Amino acid sequence: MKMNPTLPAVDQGKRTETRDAVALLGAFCLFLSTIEYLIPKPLPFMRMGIANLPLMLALDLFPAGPFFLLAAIKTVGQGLVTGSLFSYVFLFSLAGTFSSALLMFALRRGLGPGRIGFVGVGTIGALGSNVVQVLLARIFIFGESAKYVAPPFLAAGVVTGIALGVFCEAFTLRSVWYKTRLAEHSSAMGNEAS
Amino acid sequence: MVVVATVVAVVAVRATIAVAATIAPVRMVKILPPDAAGAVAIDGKGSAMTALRPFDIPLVLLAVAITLVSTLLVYGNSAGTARVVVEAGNREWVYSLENDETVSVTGPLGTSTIAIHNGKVHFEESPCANQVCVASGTIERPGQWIACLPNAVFVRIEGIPDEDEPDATSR
Repeated sequence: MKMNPTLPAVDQGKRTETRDAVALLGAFCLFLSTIEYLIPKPLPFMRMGIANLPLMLALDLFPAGPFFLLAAIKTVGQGLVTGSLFSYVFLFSLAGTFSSALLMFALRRGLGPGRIGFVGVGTIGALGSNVVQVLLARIFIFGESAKYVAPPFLAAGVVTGIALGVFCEAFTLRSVWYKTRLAEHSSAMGNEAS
Repeated sequence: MVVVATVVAVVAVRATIAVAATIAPVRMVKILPPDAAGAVAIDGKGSAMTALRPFDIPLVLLAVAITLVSTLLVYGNSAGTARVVVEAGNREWVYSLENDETVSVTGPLGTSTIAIHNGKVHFEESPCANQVCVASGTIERPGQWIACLPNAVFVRIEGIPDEDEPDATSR
């Protein structure tokens, strides 16, 4: 997956650039949701979570507002793609995505990119999403027997979290687009601070 | 069994982390441009460890620990507790071996009555001619079974007892 490095360098202000980046990453969320939907799953809620990749990439690029907007776009987009927008599955997806987005954002911002990499962020994000969904399943669907779903569910989260994290590390080091965005964002943050 | 599962899981996780720690940085070392370090804030450490930061391994281990604990809680418990499975026709009923109960199931000949009492199971009565099932007496350990073939009722005890605790099933 190569990003286009020749993005317009025109100085349109940070807001426009952030908006464009949110739109681009949101579009990727939809695309990856579609890919994800094509892959057969052993259990209905067991996803690889590749639709969370743009969310992880966005961790260092946006302030909280646009970041959670992207999370919302991802959730709604995934609901549209999988046709679960108006079913209870959507609530699971919503709760899972936002709990993992919150955890990832808090960890990455709280500890800083120097102390926590995408592997740690991705693993904890997947774990948070899965724990929340198992709890919801316990309350709303399976009751007591939801616990039998938990171990394979959590184990899958660890594996996919690490895999996504490794991918993100590789991607962020390769992508010119990402580095350009990152430089813009950190300079914007620096301007606000001074 | 639990020990084996734990060892296997730990080895698997170590391997995964090792793979993550080797593959990713090796690939990145070549690609990392000299000026990228500042932008990505790698703390000036060598690029060989850029993939894993200090908090990554503890957090991954935490996630693995939570997974393992949930596995032990879920499957460890159910393995220690034996269950009585009653089959009649195509249907199955599951009872706890620890709760006293009298179970009536209907087969082709009529109703068979199975009693679960003090962690033991026996056929109380059955509408069959030979009464082999009633004569079979009691079962109390996982893997044991009794059946009334004429009435097509099959009773077995499921679950692996903890070898260290002989009283696990008769509590």
